[in-house]
Amino acid sequence: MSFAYARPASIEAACQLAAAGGCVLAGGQSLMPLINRGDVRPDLVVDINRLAGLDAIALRDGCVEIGALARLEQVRRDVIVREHLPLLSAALAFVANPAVRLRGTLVGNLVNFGPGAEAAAVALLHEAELIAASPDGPVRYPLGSRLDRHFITAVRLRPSPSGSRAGFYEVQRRFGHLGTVGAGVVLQPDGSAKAAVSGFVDAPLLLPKVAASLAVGRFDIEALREAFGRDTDGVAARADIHATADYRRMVAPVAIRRALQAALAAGEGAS
Amino acid sequence: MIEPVAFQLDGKPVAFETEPNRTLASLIGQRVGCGEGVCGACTVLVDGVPVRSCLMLGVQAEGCEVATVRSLPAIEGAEPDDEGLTPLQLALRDRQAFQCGWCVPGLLVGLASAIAGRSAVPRAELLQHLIGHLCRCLASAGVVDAVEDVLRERRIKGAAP
Repeated sequence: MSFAYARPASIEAACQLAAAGGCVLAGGQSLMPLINRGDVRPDLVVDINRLAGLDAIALRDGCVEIGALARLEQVRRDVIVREHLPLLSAALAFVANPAVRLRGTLVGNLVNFGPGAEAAAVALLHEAELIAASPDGPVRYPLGSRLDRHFITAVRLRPSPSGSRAGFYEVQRRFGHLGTVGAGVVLQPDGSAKAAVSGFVDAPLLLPKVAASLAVGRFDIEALREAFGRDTDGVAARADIHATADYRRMVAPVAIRRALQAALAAGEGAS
Repeated sequence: MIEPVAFQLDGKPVAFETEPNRTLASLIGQRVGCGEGVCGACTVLVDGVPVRSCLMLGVQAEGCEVATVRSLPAIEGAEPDDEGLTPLQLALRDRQAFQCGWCVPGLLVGLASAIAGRSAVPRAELLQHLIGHLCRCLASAGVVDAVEDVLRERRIKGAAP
């Protein structure tokens, strides 16, 4: 069954079409596979690719704002992102392959909110807010919100303090393919730390106990494993064709440890 | 609902009347592998950028320049030989770098675009690009060797007076 196709000429028009139930199409690297498989059957596809100005990446009110048409590879290489969100840049190197990253968008990736999404774990650590256009002005939504009938024009991420060090690592069965478990770590100059994993459950997971362990300088695998166990006590890990729940639980601290090593190697200069 | 769409396909203007749900791959008869952006078999260039044509709607190509493997000489910036083969095709043949051939049109476009205008590309970067071009015959090692042959040839030619 086919669908209607619209290529609105303005953000206002796109917003109206989305509010009427249109399915917003940006890079298509998440949406088009769903349409091809028949998992999503839209009545109307709203193609925003020709809207001007949505690919901008800028500092605004102390946050990095990344537009809905900023491609993953563009974000990964961007100087503002490298300086203020080094963890995002590091994580995007683990997403798919260069050709898919040249087309797919960060906002699309975050709206899709796939279970293994590396960028979502990073976005959670950076207090991401998705900005929806509306007739009454922009409305902000936290990551993971149901966003049907909304046109998300940008995502806003809060940078780590200047001097922070960040690292990302993902255990993948084959490099560039769907990750099993990913981990992001930020070491902040005041001694505090942040950590999150992707792929362990159906959404990214913050790890306050692991962060506390890192903050007191416990970097060894035994300490990370113990802290991760306390963070995920009673949490059922994902199990799928790629990995069992037991394997994910066993390998997640390894991913955290390698992300930590990447953060330590990143040294000074990242902020 | 039928939509008109017109674009340049390998340098020639084409026009279609199509249902909007047809992918670009379907519209131009490009070979498709997975339909999910993983295998890379359907890779074409749209306005010079590699695109999975199974993940783009045909109607999205309106006004664009679409280049398939038929544009390989232009993408590589090299004249084909007497048999109509480009340096990259010849190198793949010499290295026996494919078997069933399903991945090859997309692979050629993707790699030719990745090394366009360059005579030195780190092996690690070539492997990054190959992640996006699955070869189920496991000929990928030969592909890397073939691309490195092409790059070496470019360096020799560039160094010649």
